[in-house]
Amino acid sequence: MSDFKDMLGIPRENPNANASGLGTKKSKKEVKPKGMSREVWQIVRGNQSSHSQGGMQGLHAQGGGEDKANGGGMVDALVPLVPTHAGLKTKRKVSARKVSWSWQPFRNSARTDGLMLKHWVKKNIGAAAATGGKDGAAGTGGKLLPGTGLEATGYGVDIGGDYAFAKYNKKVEVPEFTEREYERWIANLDSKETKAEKPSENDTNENDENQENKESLMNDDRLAFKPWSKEETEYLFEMLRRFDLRFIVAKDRWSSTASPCERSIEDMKTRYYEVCRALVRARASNKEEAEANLICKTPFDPQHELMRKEALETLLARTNVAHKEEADILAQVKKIESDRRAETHALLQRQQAVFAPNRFAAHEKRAKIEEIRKDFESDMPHHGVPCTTTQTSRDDVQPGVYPRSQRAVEVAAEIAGRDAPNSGLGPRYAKRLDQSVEELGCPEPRNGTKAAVAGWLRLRKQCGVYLTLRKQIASAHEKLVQAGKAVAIQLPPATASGPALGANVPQTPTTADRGGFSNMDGFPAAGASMKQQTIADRKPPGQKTGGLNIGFRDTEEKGGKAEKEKAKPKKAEKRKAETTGAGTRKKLRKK
Amino acid sequence: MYGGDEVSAIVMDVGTHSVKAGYAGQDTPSAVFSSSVGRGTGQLGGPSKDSDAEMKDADDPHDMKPKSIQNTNIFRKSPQDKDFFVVDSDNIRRDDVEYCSPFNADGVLDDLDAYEAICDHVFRGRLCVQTAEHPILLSEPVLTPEANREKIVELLFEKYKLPAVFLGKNPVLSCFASGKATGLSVDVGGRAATTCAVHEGYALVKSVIQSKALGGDCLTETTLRYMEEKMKNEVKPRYAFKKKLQTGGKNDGEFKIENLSFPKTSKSYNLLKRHQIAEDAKASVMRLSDVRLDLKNSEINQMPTVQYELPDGNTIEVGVERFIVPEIMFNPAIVDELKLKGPPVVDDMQNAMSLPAQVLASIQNADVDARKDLFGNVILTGGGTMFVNCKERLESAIFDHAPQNVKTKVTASQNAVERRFATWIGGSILASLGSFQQMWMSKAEYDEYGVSHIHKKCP
Repeated sequence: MSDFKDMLGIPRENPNANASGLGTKKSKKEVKPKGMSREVWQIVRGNQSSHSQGGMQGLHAQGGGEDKANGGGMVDALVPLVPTHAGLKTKRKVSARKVSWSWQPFRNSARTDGLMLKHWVKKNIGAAAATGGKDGAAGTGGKLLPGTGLEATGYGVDIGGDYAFAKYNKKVEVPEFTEREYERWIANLDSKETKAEKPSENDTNENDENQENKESLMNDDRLAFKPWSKEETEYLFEMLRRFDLRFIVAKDRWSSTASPCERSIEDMKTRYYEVCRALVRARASNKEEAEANLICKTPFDPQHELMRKEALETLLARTNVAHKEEADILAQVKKIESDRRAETHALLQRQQAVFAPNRFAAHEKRAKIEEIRKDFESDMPHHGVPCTTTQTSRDDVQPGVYPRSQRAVEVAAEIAGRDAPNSGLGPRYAKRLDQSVEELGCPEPRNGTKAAVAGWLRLRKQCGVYLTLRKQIASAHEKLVQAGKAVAIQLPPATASGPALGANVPQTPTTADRGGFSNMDGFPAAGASMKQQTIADRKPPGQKTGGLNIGFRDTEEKGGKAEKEKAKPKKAEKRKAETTGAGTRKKLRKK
Repeated sequence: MYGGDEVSAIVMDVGTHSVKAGYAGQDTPSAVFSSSVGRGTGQLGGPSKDSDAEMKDADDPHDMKPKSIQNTNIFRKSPQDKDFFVVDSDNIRRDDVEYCSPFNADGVLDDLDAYEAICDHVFRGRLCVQTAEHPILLSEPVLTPEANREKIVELLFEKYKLPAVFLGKNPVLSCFASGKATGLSVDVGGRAATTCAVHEGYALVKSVIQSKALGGDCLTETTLRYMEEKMKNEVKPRYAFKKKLQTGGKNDGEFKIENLSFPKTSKSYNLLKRHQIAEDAKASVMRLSDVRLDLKNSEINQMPTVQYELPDGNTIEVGVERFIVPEIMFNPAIVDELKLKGPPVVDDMQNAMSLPAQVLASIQNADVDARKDLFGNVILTGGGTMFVNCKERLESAIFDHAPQNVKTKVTASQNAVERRFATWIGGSILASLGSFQQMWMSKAEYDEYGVSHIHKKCP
């Protein structure tokens, strides 16, 4: 309430304060009520000076938040900005649950020497402090020391009062033997050992081969028997006890001074299990009990162990690098094999082409129409051929005169049908033949000159031969694939690619050879059209594809034979480039 | 359950390069200092005590010093004299004080007096402990002769009255530091690089292979020689000159080097100081190439040179050599490329085994049943492995020769401190385990069975 006065510099009027002796009030004001935090007190104190004591007392009694109890004048000053009861509440009494740690000596029951070290022990100050002494006094032996066994849950101390970690002291039980036992049961083991081995081997149903193998191993100097002395046996047992039956470590630390000869892990194991078995048998009350023991049930077999280790060693000898090299070599072998297969295939195809010598010759030099005609005419039978179409018994004979040549094509077709080697195969075959001839760009001759018809007939004949050969190759190949001797290779389309291939045979046979042999694709080199085929040939062989025919047709469309001839040199060039590439590849492979 | 139990044990790792000491349970040693100890001569420095010679028996087993030195009677006999100087905080040049490591060239302890001086310094100078109250876990090189172990144990029990002692083998402790009981420890220390197979908490001593050529000291010496040949002068240690800042004149702000001459400085101190410089150069300039270094590769030769400034202000331009020196670890024959004059740092250094070869040979020495685990747990520790890429290089080199279908892994802490102090940290872990407290060899056992009992307690 006096804030504005302070601000305006108006002196305060507080007659009350002045009147009633300042000294006494001040001494009371200065006392900080209990439970109030210092900060709150400093805020409140200023106001306190101008107000009645009652306000302060109310505050004291009910806490800072309870400002309603204060006089109206106090309200402003005591509205807390933050909840203040935390500061004003009576403090938690933590002393009851106070945990303290003490630096206490302890003994470890896992030790035999009673070493006393010190460690921190959690202890309950309140209740436990009183009982501490009593507990300590009640402790048995050296295990429990004053201050260690105070709390069952105490850190580092277990329920029994023993050192908490003593229970982890686990040892492997290695049997001990007395001198008498050694003399009676173990000393003569050496002589029995080899005899005892035999029946255990025989009772299992092993084949003779295995047996022989084992016998040869027995002669192995690694298994040569070296007799164990009593000292050595004791040393072995001592080592095994020390290293908790870790034979690998025992072998590693085996001292040559303690033992006359080098012992392998198998030697040690054999001896150890032998002795253990002998002891078990000797100590058992009856035979069944002894045989029921695992050590007797599963005798140790050093031969097997040696073989296992040998195998493991071979396995571990296969390094990553060696494996990678092998894989590389295998991949190369695979590649070479597939190359070779492709070469054989190419050779086969080339042979097909080569066996059409007249075609080959025809394209070798620029063909002159006269020569072709002569060639074809020479093919023609000079004397007449009996022909059904010429007979008048036909129904569709039109009346009147007509040129003989009008029927020439029909006659030719008839001859062709009869001459076809598999004419008995029926209309399907004839249709395929027609188709293939047509695909070569040779439809039925329009004007039946002698040469044209003869040429056409020859073409048909060769197509027929080609088709049959193809079929035979396909079936032979299929058989090979079934026998697993070859990988399925896509054959060129079933139609008239044969003659087409012939057309593509290069001019110089030497380069052709090389090209044909080293082509990776497995087809005779055929320039651009060949490329197309390799992409398009993922269809079954019977199906017509773009393949060769497309390439061929392209040239055909451009304008017949002359165009085709012109196009050839280009192809040959391309092929040469390919062959040189292939040649270098070949050289590389040889390296 | 957290298996720790603090018994305020002291862990001390006296290495050939530096001594690490501290309390068990801590994550880094609290005292790390060079293990080179200086010792004054009888004539100078400190009061001469001739009576010492009589106090000792002529056939004292502690006395491992060469006979020639013994006859001339230059050295003090007992470390009780104040004539031993541990290179720690006390790093002052003294006249006629020879500095030597307690270990010989093969890394075997041969100077027990120096060892004692180190123990003194640790217990009294650094840790300031009542030795009778603290058990101690000491790390030891894996191939410590039995006689040496006995001497150390005797010293600890007799002189310091320690309540209990344990000797842990370095490889085992470094395996424990990475939380493994089985593994192949690769510890590139000062004097040698040691590879050792650890099988279920026991070091296989027959698998140990040590190579001095790959040790940190050898690389340091090589670096030093290279630097001095490049400069055509000796590297000047800091004590050998005075540096004065010039004011005014045209050389304002530059340092003037004034050579000081201390003819009585021992050669070993000089070498120690020069080695410290070379060590710094090795750490700051030398890099391990991330693939096998091929000097025919023109790219490597075109690498920019790096400057290294010596304490006296001279600078050295280090070229491809900065890759060659660390590469020695992976291809010792490459040391020829440095074309250093004089005899090789280590005999037959060119033909030494490379680090991966050493690892593989160590694994091969172990039993075939243990090998598979070893390949998967190669543990790289020691100050010599601080080069970047060291782990990756080792891993890839081992992988090539590892069996197929066997996991190959090199474990190395990314933390430089952890890698350098791995052995100490392993000891710290071990000594603070509750279940370890039964393993100590106590004073009572020492009194009862004698010193040779240590071989049984700490196999």
